[in-house]
Amino acid sequence: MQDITQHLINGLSLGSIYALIALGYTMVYGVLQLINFAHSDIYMMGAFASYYVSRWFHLEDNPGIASLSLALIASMTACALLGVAIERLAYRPLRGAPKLNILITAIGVSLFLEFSGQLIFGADPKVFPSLIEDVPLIDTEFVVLKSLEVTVFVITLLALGILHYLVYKTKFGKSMRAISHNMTTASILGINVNKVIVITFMVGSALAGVGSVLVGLKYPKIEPLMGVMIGLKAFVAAVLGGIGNMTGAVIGALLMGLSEEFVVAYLSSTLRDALAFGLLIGILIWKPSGLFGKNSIEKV
Amino acid sequence: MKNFKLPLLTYIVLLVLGLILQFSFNAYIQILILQILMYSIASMSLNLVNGFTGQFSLGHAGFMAVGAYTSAFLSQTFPAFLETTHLFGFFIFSLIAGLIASFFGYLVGLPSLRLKGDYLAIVTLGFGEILRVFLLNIEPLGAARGISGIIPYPELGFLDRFWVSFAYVSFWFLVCLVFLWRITRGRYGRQFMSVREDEVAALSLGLSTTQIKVSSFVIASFFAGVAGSLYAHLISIITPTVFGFMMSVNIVVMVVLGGMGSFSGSIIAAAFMTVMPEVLRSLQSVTGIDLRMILFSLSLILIMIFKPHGLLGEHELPYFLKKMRRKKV
Amino acid sequence: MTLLKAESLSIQFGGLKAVDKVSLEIEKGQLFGLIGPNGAGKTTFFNLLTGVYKPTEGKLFFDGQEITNVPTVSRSHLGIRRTFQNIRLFKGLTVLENALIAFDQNMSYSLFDSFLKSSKFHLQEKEAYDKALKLLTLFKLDLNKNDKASDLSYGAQRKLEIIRTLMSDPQLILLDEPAAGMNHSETAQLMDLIKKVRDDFKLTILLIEHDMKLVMGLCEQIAVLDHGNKIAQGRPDEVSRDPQVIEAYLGPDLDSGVTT
Repeated sequence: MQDITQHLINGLSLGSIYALIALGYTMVYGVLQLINFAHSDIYMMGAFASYYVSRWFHLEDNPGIASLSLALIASMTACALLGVAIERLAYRPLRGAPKLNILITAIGVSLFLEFSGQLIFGADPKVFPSLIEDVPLIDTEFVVLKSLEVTVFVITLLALGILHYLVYKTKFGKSMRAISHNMTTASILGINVNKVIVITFMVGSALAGVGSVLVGLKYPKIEPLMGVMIGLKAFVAAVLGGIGNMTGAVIGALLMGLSEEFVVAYLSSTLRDALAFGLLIGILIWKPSGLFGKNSIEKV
Repeated sequence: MKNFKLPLLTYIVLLVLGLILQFSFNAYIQILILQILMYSIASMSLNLVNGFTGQFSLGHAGFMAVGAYTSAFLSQTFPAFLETTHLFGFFIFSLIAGLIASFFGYLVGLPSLRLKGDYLAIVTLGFGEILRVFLLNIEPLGAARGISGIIPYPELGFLDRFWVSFAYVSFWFLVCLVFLWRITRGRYGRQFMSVREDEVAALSLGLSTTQIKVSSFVIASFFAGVAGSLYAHLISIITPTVFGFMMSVNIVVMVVLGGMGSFSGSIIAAAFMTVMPEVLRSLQSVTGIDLRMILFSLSLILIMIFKPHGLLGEHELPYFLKKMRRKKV
Repeated sequence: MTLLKAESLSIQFGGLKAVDKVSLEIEKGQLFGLIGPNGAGKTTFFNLLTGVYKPTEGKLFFDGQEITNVPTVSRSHLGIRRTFQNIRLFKGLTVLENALIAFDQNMSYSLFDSFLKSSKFHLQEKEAYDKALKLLTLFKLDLNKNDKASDLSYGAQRKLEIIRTLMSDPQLILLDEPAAGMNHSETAQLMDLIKKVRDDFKLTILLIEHDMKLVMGLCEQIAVLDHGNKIAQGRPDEVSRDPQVIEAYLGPDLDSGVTT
C-alpha cells in the first residue's frame, strides 16, 4: 500500500515539474505554431543561473524560504531574458518564413545553447545546492511526505495560480488567447502582436526557470545537456494534452509523470526514455490533436 | 544501354579520377572524399522527401542506422561469402541493407504521413530515438559498444583499398543521383511536387497523396540504408549513438543549405558540411578550445535568416552554368 | 440520358441539416446551374458531389453506377473533375507542369521506366505534352507555359484550373463559383469560355454560383437551393418567375420580379 501511495506522490511531483516546462511549449505553440526546441535549453540555463547565484550568496548555508525565493527569482529572470532574446534575435526575423526554416532555426538555437553551456560551464555535472531542508512532514505506514515534495507541490500550484490569473484575468491574457485563435484578426483589432509574443516567451520561459530550480532540488546534478530528455518529455506531455491547450498541458504532464514513475517501478527502468517516444508516436497516430485539442479540418 | 551513355562516361571519368586521387592524396583526405560521396547519397535521398514532396523528416540517420547495422551484421555473420565474392558480396549486402531500411521507411511512413509539418518531424525524430534505445539494448548487435572491426572493402591487385572503395562508393553515388534525377523529371517528380504544393488539389486530380508520400519515403529510406551500409564498411565501427539526432540534423542541414529540390545543391552542401569541421579543427590550435559546434549552430541560425533558400534554391547546377554562359554572350 | 443523379441527398452537422433531401438529375451534355443565396448549402452540396463529405442519407449515381461512398481520389478516375472557388493551382510550379500533372491518371509508366528512360516513358510524356500544349493554345496560355502559375493574372489562373480539369477527358466537370472575384468583362469572357468548353469537348457541366446573372445567361437547366432544400428547378425563365425563388433571393416583403 505504501508503495503505491509513494509512487503516486513521486509521479505527481515529477508530473508537476513537467507541467511547468510543458506550459512554455504549449504557450509558444499557441501564439506562433512553433515548436520551440530551445525551450529545454532555456530551462538548463535557468538551473545554472540559480546555481551560480546560490553559490555567490552562499545560500546553502542558510536554507529556507528566503534562499529558495532568491534562487527562483534568479532563475526566472535569467530564463525570461534569454527567452525574449531568442525570440527577438532568432525567431522574429523568420516570422512568416517556411516552417522548415523556422524549425531548423529552433534546432540551431537549441544546439547553440547546449554547446555554449558545455563551453562555459564545462561538461561535468555540478551539484545543485540544497536550498531547503528535506525532512519528513508526515511519516505513517501508508505514506511518507517530505518537505521537498511539499515544496514542489506548493510552488507549482503557486506558479499555476499566477499563470491562471495572467491568462484569464489580464489584458495580456486576453490578447494572447486572441492571437492563438487568429493572429491576423487579432492584429486588425489593434492588439500589439509583437508585444504579446514577447510576454508569452517571458512567461513561458520563467515557468521553465521555476521548473529548473525544482529539478535542481529534487535531482541535484545539473549539466549542460540536462534539458534534452526532460524537455522532450515535457513536449510529449504538451502534445498529449493537445498542444496549444494549457489545461491539457498540465493534465498531460501529470499523466506523463505518473506513467513514467509506474513504468520504472513495475516494469523496467531502461524503458523510461523509450516510453516518452512510444507514447508520443501513439498519440500522434491515434489522436494527433491530443486529449483536449481541437480537431481542425482544412476548409475546401 | 544507350540511355546510360552519360552516366557510364561519368563513371569512367570517376574511376580515372580515383587513380589520380590514390596517388596524390594521403589517407586522411581520401577518407574525407569517400565520406562526402556517402553523405551526398544520404542528403540527396532526403531531398526527395523534404525538398520535392514537402514532408519534413528528422529521422534520416535512423534509416542509415538500419542499413549500417544490417550490412555490418551480415558481414560479421558471413565473412566467407565476402571472401569469395569480393565486391559483389558487398553489393548484395548494400542492397539488402537498403531494402530493409526501406521496409522500415514503409512502417514509419504509412501511419505517420497523415501528419503534417512539425508533427511529422517529431514522429520521425521519435523513430530515430526509439531505434537508438533499442540498439543500445540488443546484445547480439553489440548494445552500447556497437559493432567494430567491420570488414573493409578489399584490395584488387595493384588497385589499393582506397581506389576500390572509391569505385564502389561512386557507383552507388551515381546510381542514386541518376535514379533520383530521372524519376523527378517526369510524372513521379510532378506527383511528389503536387503533394508539396497542394494536397487537396492533388486529390481532386485523382492523385493518391498517401501513396505518393509513402513511396517518396520508401525510396529515400532505401538510399539512406545504402549510405549506412557504405558508412559501416568505410569507417569499420558503428555505435547506436553515431546515428543519433545530430546526424539527422546534419543531413537536414545539407538539404536546406544546398537548396530544397536541388540534388546538385545537396552534393555541394554535403561536401561543405564534411570538409568544414575538418578545416575548423585547425582553428582549435589557435583558440585552445573547440568552438566548432558553436560555430556550426550559430551559422545554422544565420543561414536560415539570411539565405533561407540555400545555395542553389530549387535549381540544379546546369541552370546556373547556362545562365553564366548567356551572360557572357 | 442521365449522367449524374442525386437521390434525396442529405447531410447533417450536429442538429443542422445543411442539405436536406435534395434530388436532381443532370442529363448528359447539359449545362446545369445550381444557385441559391449565401448560406443556402450550395458548397456543402458540392462537397457531397466531390466526395469531400459523406452524405448522412441518400444516394449518388454517376453514369448508372452508385458512387455514394467512392472517395474523392477515385471520382477523378471515373471522369468527374472539379475546380475550386478559391483557386488551388500548384502555385510554385509552371503553367505547363500544372497541366501535365492533371494528365497523370492517364499515364502508366513505372518508376523504372523513368529511370531507364524507356520508350514507354518517352511516348507517354510526349502524349501528355502534346495534350497540354493543345489545351494551353486553345485557351491562349501557350506563351505563358513556362511561367509560374502564381504569376498568372486572376482570370488566367481560372482558365488554367479549367484546363487542368480537361486534361483527363472527363465526362463531368464541376465548377465552384467560377466567377467569384471577377469584374463584368471578365465574367462575360468566362461565360463564353464555359460554353465553348462544353460544345468543343461535349462535356456535362455543373456550375455552382450565387451570381444569378451569370447562370441565367448560360445554363439550360437551373436548380435553386435555399436553407438546404431544393425549392425550384427548370429553365432559366421559369425559375426567375418562380415566387419562391424571388422570395428566397429578395426576401418576403418584395414582390417585384428578379431582373436578369
